[in-house]
Amino acid sequence: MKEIYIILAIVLLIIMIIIAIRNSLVEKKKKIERNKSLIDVYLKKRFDLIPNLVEVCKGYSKHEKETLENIAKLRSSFSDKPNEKDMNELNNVYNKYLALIESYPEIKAGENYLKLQKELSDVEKEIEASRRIYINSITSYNNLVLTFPSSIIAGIFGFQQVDLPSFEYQDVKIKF
Amino acid sequence: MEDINKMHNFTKIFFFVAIILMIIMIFYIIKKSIKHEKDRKNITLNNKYINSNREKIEKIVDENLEGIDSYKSKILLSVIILIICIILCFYFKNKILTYVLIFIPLVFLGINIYCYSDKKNDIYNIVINKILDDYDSDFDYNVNGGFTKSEYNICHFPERCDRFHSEDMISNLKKGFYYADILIESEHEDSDGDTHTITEYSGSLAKMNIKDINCEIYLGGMKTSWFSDKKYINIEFENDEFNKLFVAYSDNELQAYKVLTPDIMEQFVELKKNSYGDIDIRIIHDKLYIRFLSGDGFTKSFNKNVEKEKIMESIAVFQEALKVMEKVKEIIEKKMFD
Repeated sequence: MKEIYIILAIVLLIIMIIIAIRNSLVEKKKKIERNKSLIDVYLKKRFDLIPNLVEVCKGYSKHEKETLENIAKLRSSFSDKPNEKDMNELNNVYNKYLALIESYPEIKAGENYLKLQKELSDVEKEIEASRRIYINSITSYNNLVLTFPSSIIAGIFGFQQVDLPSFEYQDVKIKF
Repeated sequence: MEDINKMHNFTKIFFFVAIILMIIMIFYIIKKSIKHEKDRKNITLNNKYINSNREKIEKIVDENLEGIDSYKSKILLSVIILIICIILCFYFKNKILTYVLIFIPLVFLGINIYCYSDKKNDIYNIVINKILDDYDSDFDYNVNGGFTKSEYNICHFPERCDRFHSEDMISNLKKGFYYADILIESEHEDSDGDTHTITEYSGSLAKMNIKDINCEIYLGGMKTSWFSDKKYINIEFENDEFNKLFVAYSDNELQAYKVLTPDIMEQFVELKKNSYGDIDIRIIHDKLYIRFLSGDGFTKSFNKNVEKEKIMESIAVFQEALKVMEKVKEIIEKKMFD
């Protein structure tokens, strides 16, 4: 009788450990999704600064009017239906345009441009931070999936390793 | 019978292991305190300001400590009178006379000790202020000033704090810098109902105004249960060495990542490795707090020569703390606001 109680206690302990590890895996996986959406939030915040950019450049960059219109169009398309392709394209055009502004001393000297620079710099930092959070959450989840004994439970419940992202879109470095 | 013998053997082994562990612990504590003393001496020896101004500082201390000798003589005289009176008491059978004989020199001794410590505080105020004036006239020293317990509690340090003492405040209003010695004690009741006081922490706390980082970040040496119950998240960053040296908590993960970028973490690791005394960092919106495990600060002793060395050591430790504070402030503000 005594032996049965001991075996029961051990089985109960093992079940509890399995539940705890599984819950931890689920929680970490959810965190990855949450953190991925966090990057999108800050990228969107970056694109929301486009009207400010248009306002700043109005009257100065007549030659780039077409580019500006293109950026605005891409932004509205991205806002209606967010997708990775539009986001990458928008990001590339946006960065190119920001780099182009560097050649307009009149724009750079303006108060609005300095304000925009500050806002952009803040958003860039937020994007960088959210990417690091996202990568860290993947690393933490992968460590749990790959290390013993949690790797056994991950295998039983079908938790698989998540690939680390390579961020295609590069942010422009704003000069102060 | 065999069972009892087995139990006996087990108890013997248990006690043996406990004694060995105790010896190791005592050895570790002694080794740590020797290293601490050595570090403190090294800081003084390597301090440029102290090295180039040693004679000047010694002169300031000598000039101002002269007056204190008369109080020392008075205390010594009161003790001698008290001893004589106690001896005389054995010869007098009159109880009232005995009480009077002891009471009068005792009051005399009490007054002298009070005056001595009061005078000593005044002298300390003058001496340290003169030295600080010479170093940077914006610094002020107040022997009776210190942090309040509520301000200390904002930092949520892990030790239990039943009694809080803080004194020897050095401040610089221009820089928004404050530095004072702190002593944290806890009270414990044993099985007999007696209360014992244990020193939990002895060091100094520095505060500096910085630009608002819009969050609270706690970087300490150990995990604490306090944070896990509240709104704070335990954050593990990508730098393993940083994670080993600092346990990080914050109320805003994104902001914490914004502040603690990879290069800032590298700098913090270097800072913690090279700084004197173990450091705990707290960044609470626009205030930066750093706690230094530096032992006793401006300890007031009876011996003039010891006093001189102690003052110089304390000044060196204070300058080291100021250097660390300014470095941390610079690192954070440069990254966040430039």
